[in-house]
Amino acid sequence: MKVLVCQPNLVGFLSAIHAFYYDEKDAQLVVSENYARNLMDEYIEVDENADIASKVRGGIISKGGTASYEDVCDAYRSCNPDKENIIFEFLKLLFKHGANANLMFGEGAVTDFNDVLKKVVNEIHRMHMFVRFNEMSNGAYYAFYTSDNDILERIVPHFTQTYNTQPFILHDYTRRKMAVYDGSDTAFLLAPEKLEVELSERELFFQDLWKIYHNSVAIADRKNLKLQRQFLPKKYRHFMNEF
Amino acid sequence: MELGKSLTVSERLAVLADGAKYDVSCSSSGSDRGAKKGFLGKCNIAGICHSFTSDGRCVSLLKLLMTNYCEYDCVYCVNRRSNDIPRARLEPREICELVENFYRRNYIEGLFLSSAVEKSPDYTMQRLLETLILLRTEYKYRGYIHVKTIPGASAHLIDAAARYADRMSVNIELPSENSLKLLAPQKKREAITAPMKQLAVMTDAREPGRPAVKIPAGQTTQMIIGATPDTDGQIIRLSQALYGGFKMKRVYYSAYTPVNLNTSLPALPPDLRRENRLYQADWLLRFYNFKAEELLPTENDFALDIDPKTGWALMNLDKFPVEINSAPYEALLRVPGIGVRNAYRIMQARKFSTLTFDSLKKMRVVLPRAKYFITANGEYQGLFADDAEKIRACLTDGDKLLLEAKTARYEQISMFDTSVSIIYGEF
Repeated sequence: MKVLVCQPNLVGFLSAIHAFYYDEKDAQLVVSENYARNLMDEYIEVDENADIASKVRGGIISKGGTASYEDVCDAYRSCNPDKENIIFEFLKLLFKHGANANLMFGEGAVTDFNDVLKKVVNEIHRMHMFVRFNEMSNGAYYAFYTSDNDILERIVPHFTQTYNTQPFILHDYTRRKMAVYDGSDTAFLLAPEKLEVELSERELFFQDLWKIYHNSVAIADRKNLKLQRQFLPKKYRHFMNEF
Repeated sequence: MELGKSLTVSERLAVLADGAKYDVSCSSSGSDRGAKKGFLGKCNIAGICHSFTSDGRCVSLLKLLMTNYCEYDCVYCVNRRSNDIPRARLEPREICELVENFYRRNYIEGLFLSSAVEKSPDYTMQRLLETLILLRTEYKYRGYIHVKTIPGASAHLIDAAARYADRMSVNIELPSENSLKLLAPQKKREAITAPMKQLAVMTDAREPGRPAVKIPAGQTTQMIIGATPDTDGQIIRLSQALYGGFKMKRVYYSAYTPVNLNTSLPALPPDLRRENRLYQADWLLRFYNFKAEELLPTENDFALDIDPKTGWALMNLDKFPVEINSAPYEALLRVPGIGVRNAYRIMQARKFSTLTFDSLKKMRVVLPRAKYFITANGEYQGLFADDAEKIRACLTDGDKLLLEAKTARYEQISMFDTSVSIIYGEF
């Protein structure tokens, strides 16, 4: 079996899609470079190329519309180790059937793609729900989180709109990168290994109030920790100050 | 117990949040006011929950009573005048500070402000209004606000509050006038329905502060279940009328929790599954085109062991099984195990290929339930197409019966989720 190996980024992946359609029509799998290879298969390295990736982007948009391209980008943010191949299988349908591919819910390739996409989109929404900002002594706010998928750039716009008067740092602790918003512009930076955050004097007062509130609204007679866990997985609780 | 202002903000917050928690609405959806430079916050049309409490319910809004000092003595209510409980009040500015600081930390999506009736309905409504004005103007707050309408407050105050709120609500409290007379003698039916009528005409989106008075997220109401002998049949007929006549966005059902000892109240709370069944039926009324009279032809209660949709299907087996490759949308929507999303997916996917049980599985149709009511390309997997008793037994006591039938296609039947109802912030 012929396997296309791409660089581990979106440009690299889209370049491999181009290679499949123009050079290696009999390739059956697209993987990123950290894929565990075996002796049986033939591996073809595809270099990343921004111009080629841009052509593929245009192709996806003309076949499936802007929304399809955005879905592909979101799916590519997934932590699923098979994401390249899952998106590849979906794109084959998209290039064949156009936007109709989005509606072929009986096809395994569509279901798999939607599953990967849904996990990313859900986690973006969950970060909008669960991220907690802390007021620092300089008046700006700081929040950190850990996530399964690489979604910092997708989370930030919601907060720059909501808090457009409030400078903040949003820190993806898993990937050591952060967004810094100064009240008008956002910069994406690598996070330093150690980040000292000095909280404002009243910060702990409001955190306490929030904990009091959170406890007061629970109805003791209806305790249901399983349901709580279903909506709010434990893996996110370490950055939420009510827990 | 007169404690009043001697309590700290933290203590008063605990008292007044505790007093508000039996108001179950915590939705922040329905309003799509965008962000504006220089202002704090925006609204998300689908709503955002921010946390979940140990009972599994979502926390989307800072739900507060402005005060729990009450003139009324409603038998079922924890804040009734004759109860000896800690009393407190929060000033408008204190509430604004809480909202601003909780909002800036992403704890909440907005404010749900209610109040006990202190001094008079107009005095109380005036104080709520003051808070809203302060929050929207001085605090430049554009997030979500749900404000309670105090029954008996003047129309002009309700009108004024609607200029600043996203959603307003007045609780119908109990499902019938007789129950209301018995348990809340100071609340008159007209004092509840008059503001509902007023709110029913204000339901479209608008900018805050603009003269045309419209509440973008509409109005909701709530009733207590199980404190009075009203049946499910009466309750869903009432809900249907409320959705129709008063253009309600939501009717909430709150299973009665015994907080007071009183001879006119039952000593025990109702089975929580009853609340769950009512919510399921409510969804069927709003999203599945069911009529209350179809779900419960006589005014009795829902069965607790099967959901109302399955209950309806078992009463109407002559309409099943439906062939998923040709059935109209309306018929698919009525199949137990197929929801709005899957009915849509089936309609789309069958344009491109013939659907089989395997395709349905990929779409996540709940086959253990749906298989009794559908055929896929002519195939039927449900064993008993026309025996309501056997289907019911399979769905409620599945394993045993299926083993007896010695079917080769043995599948674990998933029991319905009979846990307490879930109040999603998104709805």
